[in-house]
Amino acid sequence: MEHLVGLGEYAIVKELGIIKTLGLGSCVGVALYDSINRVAGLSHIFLASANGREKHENPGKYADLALPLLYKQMLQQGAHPRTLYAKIAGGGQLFSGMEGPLLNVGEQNVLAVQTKLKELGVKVSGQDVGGNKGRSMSIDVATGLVIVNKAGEITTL
Amino acid sequence: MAKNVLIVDDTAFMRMMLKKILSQNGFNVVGEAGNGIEAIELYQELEPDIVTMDITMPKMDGITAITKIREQDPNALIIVCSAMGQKQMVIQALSSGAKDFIVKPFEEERVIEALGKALEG
Amino acid sequence: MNQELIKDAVMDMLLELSNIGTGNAATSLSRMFGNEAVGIEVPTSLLCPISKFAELLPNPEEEIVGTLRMIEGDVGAIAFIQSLHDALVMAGRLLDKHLQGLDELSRSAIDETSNIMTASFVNALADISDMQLVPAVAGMAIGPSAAVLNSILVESGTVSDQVIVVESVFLLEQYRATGHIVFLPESTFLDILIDKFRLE
Repeated sequence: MEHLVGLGEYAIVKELGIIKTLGLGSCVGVALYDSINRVAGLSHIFLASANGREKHENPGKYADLALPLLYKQMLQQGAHPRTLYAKIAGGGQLFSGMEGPLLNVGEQNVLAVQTKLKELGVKVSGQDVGGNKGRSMSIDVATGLVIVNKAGEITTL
Repeated sequence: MAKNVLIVDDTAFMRMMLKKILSQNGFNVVGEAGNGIEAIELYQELEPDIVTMDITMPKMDGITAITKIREQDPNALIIVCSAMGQKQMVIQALSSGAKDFIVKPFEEERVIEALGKALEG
Repeated sequence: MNQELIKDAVMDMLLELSNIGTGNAATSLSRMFGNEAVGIEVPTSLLCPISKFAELLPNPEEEIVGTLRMIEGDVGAIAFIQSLHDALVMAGRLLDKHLQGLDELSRSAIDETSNIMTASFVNALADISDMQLVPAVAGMAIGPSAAVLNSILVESGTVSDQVIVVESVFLLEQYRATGHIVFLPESTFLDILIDKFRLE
């Protein structure tokens, strides 16, 4: 059973299934996995921070709001902090030739995700980030295997 | 005698098109610049009779380049070629010293006519 | 007055405007294509919620070209997207030769098409809002559709929950190519339009 996660969304699946997200350009996909309790979560992060716009916004878009939510719900679903780890993909810079303050927003997103995961005490055990190609990412709930497709080039984390 | 033209545009395709039109109409394209800074450098180096200038370019835009070129040479003849044909943009370009403003994409006759008129002074 | 209604009215106006803008683009493109007749079908405009934006094109993994230009002064951003296939077909017609993939010249031909298309929209917007709207230098991205589209959202810095999409069909000889203009307005710009609209 394939669960598709869109921009600003996240999903948690237990035991069996594949969670997938497409369209990771400057966005960052964050997979959380507990191999002992077989709980997997995948989040598609859009930006580092909601910057005070929390009230009107979908928290799933922002690293600072989405990751704590995902983490909490994973624990509620039976994951244990000691056996939980993360794998991340994305944060590329697809647009070349632009000038201005939003340069390197992909890099900023990766940094925000890494910082937040560290705060939550979740270790990042694998990552495929940066560069200038778009990615899609999936996690197999049965094994925790993460497959990253970067414009035809397949990597496993 | 063929007049020397410096073409300034950040798009290779546009420079190619302009070069073709100008060469076929008796102009001598002596240089091509991809941004405002290169435009100023090449203007000083090549001393062309006339310049075609785009507005939106990286590093330095066309309006700034026009101002700086005319500071060095108040007689510089510059024709703006840009897709940004809004009234205020045209006024800004002409106030900074451009002799004419051609909206992209342009008709061949319009370009040749504009350059000819400017050179006659 | 109901704030929501006003905002809808402004969005409607922008949709109307996109028709005018694309009409101008048709004329411009014909000139650019020279000998070849280029027509543009009456465009379809729509408001797209950003949560659905990545699904704009039927195949999220198809290679597309996107160009993105910020509009100076907190107005927003404007993008033009096409499948890589259609972009290359149009570039080939412009350059009058068979293209094999992307080189600097074909990339810049694609860039120029996007320049003309987005300028037509922005110029029409400038007319209606009586403002000077200056798009900055374009960034270009080539990649799978969903990734490029999401990157447009991220790299434009948009916080709007909706964007305006104008689908244009270009009638080339023996081929219909498609392209989409995307306008991502800043809320400050929408506020300006709301003010002007109210005054009318």
